[in-house]
Amino acid sequence: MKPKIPPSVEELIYAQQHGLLEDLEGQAVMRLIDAGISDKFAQGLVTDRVRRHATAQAFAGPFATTRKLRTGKIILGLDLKGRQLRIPLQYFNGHTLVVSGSGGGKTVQARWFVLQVAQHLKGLWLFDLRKKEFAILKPLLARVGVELIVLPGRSLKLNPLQVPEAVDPTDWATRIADVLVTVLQLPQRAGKLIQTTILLMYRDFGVLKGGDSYPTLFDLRERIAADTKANAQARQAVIDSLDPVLLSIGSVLRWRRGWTADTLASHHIVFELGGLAETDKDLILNTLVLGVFASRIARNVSNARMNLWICCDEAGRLVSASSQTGGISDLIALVRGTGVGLYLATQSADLSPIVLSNTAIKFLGRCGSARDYDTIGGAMGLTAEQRHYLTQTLVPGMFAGQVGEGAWRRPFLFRIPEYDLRPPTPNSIGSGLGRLPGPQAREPDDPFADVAVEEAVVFRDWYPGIAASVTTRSTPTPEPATSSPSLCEAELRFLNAVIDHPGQPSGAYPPIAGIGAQRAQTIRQRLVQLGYLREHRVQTGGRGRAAIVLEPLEAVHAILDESDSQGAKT
Amino acid sequence: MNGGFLHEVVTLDRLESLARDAGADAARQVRTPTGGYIDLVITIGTHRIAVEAELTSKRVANDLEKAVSAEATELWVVTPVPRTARSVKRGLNRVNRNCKTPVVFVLTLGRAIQRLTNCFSLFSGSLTPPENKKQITNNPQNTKGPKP
Repeated sequence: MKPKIPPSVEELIYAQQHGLLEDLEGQAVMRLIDAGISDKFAQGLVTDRVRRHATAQAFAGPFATTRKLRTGKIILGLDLKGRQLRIPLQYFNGHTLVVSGSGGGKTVQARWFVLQVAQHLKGLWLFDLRKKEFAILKPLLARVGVELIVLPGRSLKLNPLQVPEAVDPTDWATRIADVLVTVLQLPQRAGKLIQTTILLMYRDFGVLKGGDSYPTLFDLRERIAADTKANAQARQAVIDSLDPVLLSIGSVLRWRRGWTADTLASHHIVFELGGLAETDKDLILNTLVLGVFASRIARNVSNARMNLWICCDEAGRLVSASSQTGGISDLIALVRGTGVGLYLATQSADLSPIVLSNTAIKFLGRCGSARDYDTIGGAMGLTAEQRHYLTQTLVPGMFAGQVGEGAWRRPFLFRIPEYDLRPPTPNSIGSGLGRLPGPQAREPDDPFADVAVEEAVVFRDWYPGIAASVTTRSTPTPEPATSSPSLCEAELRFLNAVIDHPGQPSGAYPPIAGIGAQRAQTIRQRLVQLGYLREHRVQTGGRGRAAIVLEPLEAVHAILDESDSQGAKT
Repeated sequence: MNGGFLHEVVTLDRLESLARDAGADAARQVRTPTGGYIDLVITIGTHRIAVEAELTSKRVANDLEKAVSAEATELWVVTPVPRTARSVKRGLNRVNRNCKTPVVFVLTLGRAIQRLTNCFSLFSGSLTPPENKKQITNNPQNTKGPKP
């Protein structure tokens, strides 16, 4: 039989649980009780505090009214009485998860935190994965001396195969092969093929001997395509998965030496990835985050203070339990302790268990589904009464929160205070590009003056089917951007045929140019893509399908003249 | 009107070349009494064909006016694809034809070439216009004939 606890002891336990005896007077009362002096006066002090707190709690609903969370640089928001709730900045190092339906105030909350966090951190990465929500903060952050750089997704210069600072190339080959397998959803056998090929390319490019001109994903694709001894299914899987990515964000990936994650980690940057395909976003995100992580691990950074905060708005797909291709689920467990804090906002509770396990701070906003309340409520330790209360109480801008860092673990309610954001000025977008390492516009006092990028020029006009003849390290050629891409002999013959016999159906040119029909089709598509030819559909016959008639554009004459002059010289 | 590659090179150059090969006179940008210009006029004997290459159906009413003013026997509106041809036909149906208009053919380029080849081999400068017309109507390849 369980012994009955006296009411005075129950009150004492209640007071301790709710932190009612932590001031000087309360501590004195505790010392008296510990010493065995429990007179009416001391008991009365405890009873008085407990009753007042219980009464206040009855009006406040099932959530605890906290006396904690009063110190720290970051204002979480206001509690139900309008008092500020604060946490130390370093609490964000434990990662933050926000679940709230559309219109629940996720973005408003993210901006609220960004405005406070930015000035205290060396690096801030804001990923706009769906919309463009963070560029608006640029003028506001400029007031506190923080330059927010807004980078559209296609203006980045990255090379996933570029080995991060202090990382061993062999280690990086393994890591990046795993990332490519995950992001591109490749079979395991393809992963082995990729890893082997990357290592071989590192050897050929001299990376293993300390070289700093790295192979690109284009090189990887071409090398695997040319490897006829490789497993056919694995090879085809790599080609099929890489081609769309290279066609979509080829301008981002065609850099032998691009911007390093370490360089970017010391800036405040908005990555606007809204217009990219999901695979492209995953690849960019993983390249950046994994690069920072690997570099910090290699430099023995452990349990460091947070100096880079990564905020992903609309990160539903990255943290989804049903779609594990994003790779954040794997990374979130790793980046903890390397001074990188993650903030993930999502609309539903379709969350990977790893994400729930590795986010110390959780915020639950207004959701549209009871399942969302149950899932995230369960992870926050909410009682059934609290969940029911939330379904009827939460409004846009109000959140139930739980802070995993520190001593106070009870869930609490708070709301984001209203604040005004001025609309962004037109020059706020893209104006920060000059600060990043690039071949142009380097100022003498630019901290990146010594950091150079190297473009893989041979892949500037790459498309599947026409392999650039690059298998070994290339010397950087300072080719001007306006120079025309080189055409092979067959392509020039095809162009000459089109010029000499204008207005013919495309099928008439292969015999004139002396090339096969299938190859002519590939050549025609390439020449159209390069802007030398334009296709028209014309019904040149009495019946059947319309023929493709090729119109030579102005650029053709220039390149034919150029090739004629070169032929005359030789 | 002066057009681009599709209008000039693909359509008119080819028809002009074929017409000349068939023994007809072909002239580009022929001015009409009302001040307009017909893209191509093919003449053989007294038979006069006004050819207008059109990429859209916007100017068909104007084409018809020019053909009437040039006293053409036939008007050929030549389009690159059947879809445009159908659109041109619909546009022609909306045109109010009060005066005596020439026989109008709306043809894709392929059909125009076919018709040119079929017809002109039967024309002869030594025959009178009714005799030439008879040659065309008796030709089994033209049994369908133009719609009035």
